[in-house]
Amino acid sequence: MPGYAVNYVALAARDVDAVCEFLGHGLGLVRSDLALGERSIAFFAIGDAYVAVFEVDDDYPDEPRCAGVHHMALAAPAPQVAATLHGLPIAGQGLGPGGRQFVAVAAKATCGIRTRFFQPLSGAGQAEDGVIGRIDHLGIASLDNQRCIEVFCHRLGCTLESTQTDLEIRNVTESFVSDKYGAVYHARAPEILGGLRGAFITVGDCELAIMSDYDASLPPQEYLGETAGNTKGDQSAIAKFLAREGPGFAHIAFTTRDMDALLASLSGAGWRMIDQVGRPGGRGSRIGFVHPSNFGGGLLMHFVEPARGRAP
Amino acid sequence: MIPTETVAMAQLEYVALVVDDPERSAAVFEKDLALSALRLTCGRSLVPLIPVGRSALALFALGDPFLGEGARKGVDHIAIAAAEPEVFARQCGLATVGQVSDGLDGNKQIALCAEATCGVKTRLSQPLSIRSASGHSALVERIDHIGVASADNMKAREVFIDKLGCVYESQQTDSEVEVIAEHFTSDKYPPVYHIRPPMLVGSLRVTFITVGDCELEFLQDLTEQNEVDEASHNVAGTTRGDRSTIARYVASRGGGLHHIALKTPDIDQVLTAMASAGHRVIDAKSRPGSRRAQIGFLHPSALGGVLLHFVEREER
Repeated sequence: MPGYAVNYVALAARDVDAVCEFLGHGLGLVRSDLALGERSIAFFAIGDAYVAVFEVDDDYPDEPRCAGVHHMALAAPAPQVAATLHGLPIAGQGLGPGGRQFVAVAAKATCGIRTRFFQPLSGAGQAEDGVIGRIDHLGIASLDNQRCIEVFCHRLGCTLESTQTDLEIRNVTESFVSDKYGAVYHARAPEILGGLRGAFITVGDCELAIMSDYDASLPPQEYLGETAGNTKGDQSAIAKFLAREGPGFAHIAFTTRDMDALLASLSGAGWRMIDQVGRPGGRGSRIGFVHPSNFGGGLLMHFVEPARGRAP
Repeated sequence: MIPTETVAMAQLEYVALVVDDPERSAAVFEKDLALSALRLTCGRSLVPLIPVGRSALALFALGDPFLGEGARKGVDHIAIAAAEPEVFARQCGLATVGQVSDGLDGNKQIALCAEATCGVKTRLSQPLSIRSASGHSALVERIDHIGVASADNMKAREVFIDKLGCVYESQQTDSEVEVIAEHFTSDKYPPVYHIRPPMLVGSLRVTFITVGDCELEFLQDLTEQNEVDEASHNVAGTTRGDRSTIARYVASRGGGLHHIALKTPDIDQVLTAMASAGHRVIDAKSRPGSRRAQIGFLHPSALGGVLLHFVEREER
């Protein structure tokens, strides 16, 4: 496979127990605990990779200590060699979970996408009949998609899977229907409310979904998460994330075969969902978001039911 | 024997506007709209009167005792012609406020109780003798309508048609519908176009009732469940905005007179003329309005606090 594959994705959580409960019992992912120094870290197998759950103040993820998707670890048997080979500045290195060597790349060299090279853990691989198939993508708020493509495709050799533009458009019609003067219809020109430009870069069995604001002059929505999501809301989430934290990981998305059944069962189990039913997403998929309040805030997850013909 | 018409069709004598400075507002009508103005006494005041079509606009200063309690800037009241105001009020079966008194030019007049007339402050007045003056110009033909924020158009029909002898002209429903589409365009996957259900973002029922050579335009919000937008005179108007304006008015003071509209032969010409005379114009370009009209609003600051718009439309 060209480029690199994600070995694990580190989540930093305010409520680690809630995240582990969600991934383990909610989504049925198999958990193993890996030693890291004196402590043990929960790793959940998902597709060919793992999702690891850290406390926000854990030293291993290091700065910044805020909740969310913290970093991705790309499989490299010799982490330091890989970083040097690609000329990426090293911000830190040592022994990570399971005693594997890691090298953390300076985030500014990877467009804020916090990346580590890591001696891979083997043994991942999910049962075929699971509710969740794999990681679909890691959502990234970007200021410059082209620069991300240069780093991950041109430099690290990953494949550009596709690019897309999502737009939300308002069409307004005014009607004047009279009992004497007949009917007059007047349609205003369509107005772009907001949108995202996306670039999907393959890293193993998932993609980096790099999202930039289609038009940063369009103000974001004030309130998010109170009603079902839409493209304008997604643009607002990315715009607000960029304003607050700068470019980097914004969310993680998992594939599922049956979106509506999954959302209903999680909702029934007491998890708060932003979307109660699937809605159109990128790449011909349907998507549905989990409310970050389940995890003490800051950590955004959603599900993807891929277009027919793409592996769930 | 053929019965003779006992109740004549109601005639509009004048519309009373309350402004910051009557003479300054009169100058706008005279200079910028080329209408002529008279000065009539009313109590101790000298009131500018602008004949418009077969009716007239009377300009009062805020606080003029003739207006009574609680007058605000804007369209204050309408006066319907009655040779014997008190007799006419009794015939209509509508409650009055106070006694018959001297009004414009010493004509006898009496005020009807606003609660009995859907909040439309209405006076019955002896006809003014101003017919020598011309009520039109190259920019203004006549009053097109007087806009009323209404809580109940059916009630308005009962009062103004059945009791006061006005004539039903037409009724319409103005709606603004918003449809949001999401469009996903990929270089690899087929495009997806997803349309969300339409939303009625604002709707008004508009009932026109003829009084003299113009209409009362009763505007009733039909979208009470919708949130009310904040007021803004800085953007061009829409049905959604109009509906919010009416909803705000009715919520804060019940129904009542809201704006006045003048009929013009050329809407864009009059808007341009007003803008180049230095007045703030809300609609720099005309937009569609009721009755197949093109309309355009002046900012209330142009006329010392009165909301006025122009209307261009064909007679039907």
